Amino acid sequence: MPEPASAEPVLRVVDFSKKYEGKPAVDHLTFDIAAGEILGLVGPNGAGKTTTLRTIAGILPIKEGNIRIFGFDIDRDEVEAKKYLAWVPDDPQPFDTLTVYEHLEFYAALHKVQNWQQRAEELLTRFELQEKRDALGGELSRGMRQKLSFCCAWLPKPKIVLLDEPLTGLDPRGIRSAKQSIVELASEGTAVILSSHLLDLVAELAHRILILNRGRRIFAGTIAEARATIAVRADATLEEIFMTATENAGDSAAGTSAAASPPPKIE
Amino acid sequence: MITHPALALLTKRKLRGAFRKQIRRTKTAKGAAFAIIGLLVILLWYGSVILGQSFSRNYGSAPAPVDPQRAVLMAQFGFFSLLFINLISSLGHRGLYIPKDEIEVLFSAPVSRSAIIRYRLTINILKSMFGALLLSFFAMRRVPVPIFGFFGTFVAIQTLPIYGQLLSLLSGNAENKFFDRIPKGAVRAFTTIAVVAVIAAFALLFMPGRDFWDKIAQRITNEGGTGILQNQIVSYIMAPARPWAGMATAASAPEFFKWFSVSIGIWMLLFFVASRIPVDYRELSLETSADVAKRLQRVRRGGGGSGVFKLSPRVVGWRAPWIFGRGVFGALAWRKSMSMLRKARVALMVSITIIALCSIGVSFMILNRSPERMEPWFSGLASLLGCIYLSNFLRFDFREDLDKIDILKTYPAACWKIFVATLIPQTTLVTALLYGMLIIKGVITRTFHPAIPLFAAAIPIFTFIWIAVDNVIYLFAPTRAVAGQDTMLQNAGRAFVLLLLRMFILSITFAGAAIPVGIAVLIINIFAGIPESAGQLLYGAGFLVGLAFALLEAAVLAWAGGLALRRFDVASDRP
Repeated sequence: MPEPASAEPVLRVVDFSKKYEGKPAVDHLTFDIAAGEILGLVGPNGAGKTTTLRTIAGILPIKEGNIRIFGFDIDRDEVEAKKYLAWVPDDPQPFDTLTVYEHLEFYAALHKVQNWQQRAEELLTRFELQEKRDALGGELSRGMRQKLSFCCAWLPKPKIVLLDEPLTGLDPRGIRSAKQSIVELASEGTAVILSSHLLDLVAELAHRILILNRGRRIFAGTIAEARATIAVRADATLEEIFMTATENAGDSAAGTSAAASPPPKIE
Repeated sequence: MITHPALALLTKRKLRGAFRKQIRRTKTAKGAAFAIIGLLVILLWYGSVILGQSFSRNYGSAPAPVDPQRAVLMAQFGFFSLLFINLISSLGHRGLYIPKDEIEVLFSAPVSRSAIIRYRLTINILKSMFGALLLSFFAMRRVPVPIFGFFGTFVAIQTLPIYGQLLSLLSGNAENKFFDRIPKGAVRAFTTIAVVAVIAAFALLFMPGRDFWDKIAQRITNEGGTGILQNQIVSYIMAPARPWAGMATAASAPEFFKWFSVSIGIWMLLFFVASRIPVDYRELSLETSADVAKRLQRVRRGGGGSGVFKLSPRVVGWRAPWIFGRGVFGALAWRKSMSMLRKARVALMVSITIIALCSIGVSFMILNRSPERMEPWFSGLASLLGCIYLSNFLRFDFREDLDKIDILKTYPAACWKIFVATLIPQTTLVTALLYGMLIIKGVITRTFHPAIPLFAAAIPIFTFIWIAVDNVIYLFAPTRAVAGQDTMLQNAGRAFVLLLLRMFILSITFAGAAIPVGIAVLIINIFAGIPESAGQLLYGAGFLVGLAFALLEAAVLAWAGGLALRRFDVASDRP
């Protein structure tokens, strides 16, 4: 992987906690990400990955801790902070009555992108949606919805992209396009947080990884550092590192309460 | 209104998209036919309201003179009732309701929360326009100057969503700050009681042509100053509705414009306050949107009726008996029975209560008149109406299985058998409830007319016919019924066609039954000296022939249902 463009953090999460009905979903989480960096966010189900991403995206309110995007507090300077962000949810829900092209028109207006049409055409071509440009959102398959979500996120050339299980439902060509465009985006200086259970994908793309378990950070660093500190073997894969890390953390957390259920996700 | 350019664009595009989707649906012959019929039905409905209004003004008898003070009070009470229902129901939508396809996009976008509120408020106001127009036309009848009544009602209805939204935001904020969580069951129970109370009060005051109701209405608003609505405290409570009442019942233009200015001022103030209120509604909105999305999904799957109810985890241990055997038919029917048992807990309780109350009511109506003469008529009518109501309310048919039809078609059974087995549990349940009604009535009235066994034999056949017609049409032209969505025209058209077909089939059934009974009557009249017992026997024979005819009709419908299921193409017919 090429090295990140800058070491200066563009997103800083400090001591962030989130509780649901009194139970911790995320527990005193601190991390940051620099421009051009791809951060792989991994953890078992209920680890707090989606809650963390949705809070950074401004979907969930922040009550404990602090999140800053280019210095803007996501709580106090919400609109300013969100200008730099793009969010790709794990199950994108396009507007039923808008065509693919109208989605891009709307996102261009939302992020005040001037002369967006040429970039929209490029993205439609890249994600093989040209033939579907006049299809309604409600008519798209799971994979097409995911591709449309990428196009909408990529359109304003965001400085930070939050991806939650981005490859779900994509065909092999779609997966290749998505991976290429994530790498290209990062090489242009965009910080990417990639949350996924596909550990091979994370190992392939991420500069650093952040492992969460039961809402707590159990490791943050490069895979080489993880091998040195967590793994039993020097050539351990990310899967082996993940298993060891979460088992150890599970042992140490035994007896503590399980992480809380996240807020409802709309089916 | 909408100040953010992207949200204004979204509104325009969504509106255009809704039209486009409607037009795309009319590209098939079925879609076009149902849309045209639906459009005609809606136009005729509106047209009849407008023309009826104009006709009664121009050609009808002169309206009774309205006491101005009483008119204002009644209008104020009417508007206040609507406001109250709106406020109570808005407690169920905590925070700001945002549809599932918008919520994550809007919350993660660089758009302020007040801009989102303004956008949603505008959408809600636009959505309420259809109902506002209709109610405004209705309101023109009972006011001194119809046009003032129209605009007064229109402005009032268009202000209700803002009041409701303001309360949702404030109650959501209070819940965030002061209560961990208000039990939803308590809110629902309170809402139901309040809505029923207001509807009852409304009916009490406005039911026309009933001396009893008129007397009560007069007592509430009597001119002696002791009426409930003239009470000082009540008038303070109803004060928010005063400007609308003043506008709707104004007798002169200056009076109308005075109240109009006040009403518009209140509208603007409420809109401003609702959009500026410093409440973080995100978590509540996520919950509300998830709840509404689930409910809509159940409506889409269940097609209304009891399919809307949630699967109750408390009844997981309950098991339905294998009433129809252990074969393929029995297995299919058992699967449906289990669905009914586990989903329709609340619906069943409601149905049993309604049936019990109706039985008691019918029994006393029979007792107050001539039991021997009235009983068969009351029993027949109550069975008919009960069947129609219960078949629609306790609906467990192919709507519930729309997403599983490909699986159903793979079962090792003839399609007609699958069709019948799917509908038979609902038929049995409705029949059992109606039998219960006849038994309660028999116990209270202590009469048992010889016609009752004949009714009992007719009930399951008629119920099956009623349900089967609906399902045959549904399988030929399936729609996912969600009120207020883009299939409104098709749904209206489909409902109208269904009504006509049911009436047609019902008339054939009655004609088939009436002809032999008519022949029996003719024979009795010709041979006047025929003994009474022989006459009754002839009636009974005629009824049985009619029943046989109905059975034949049920068989034809079972065949048609099988055909519809066989030709159902899951690739194209599933909407």
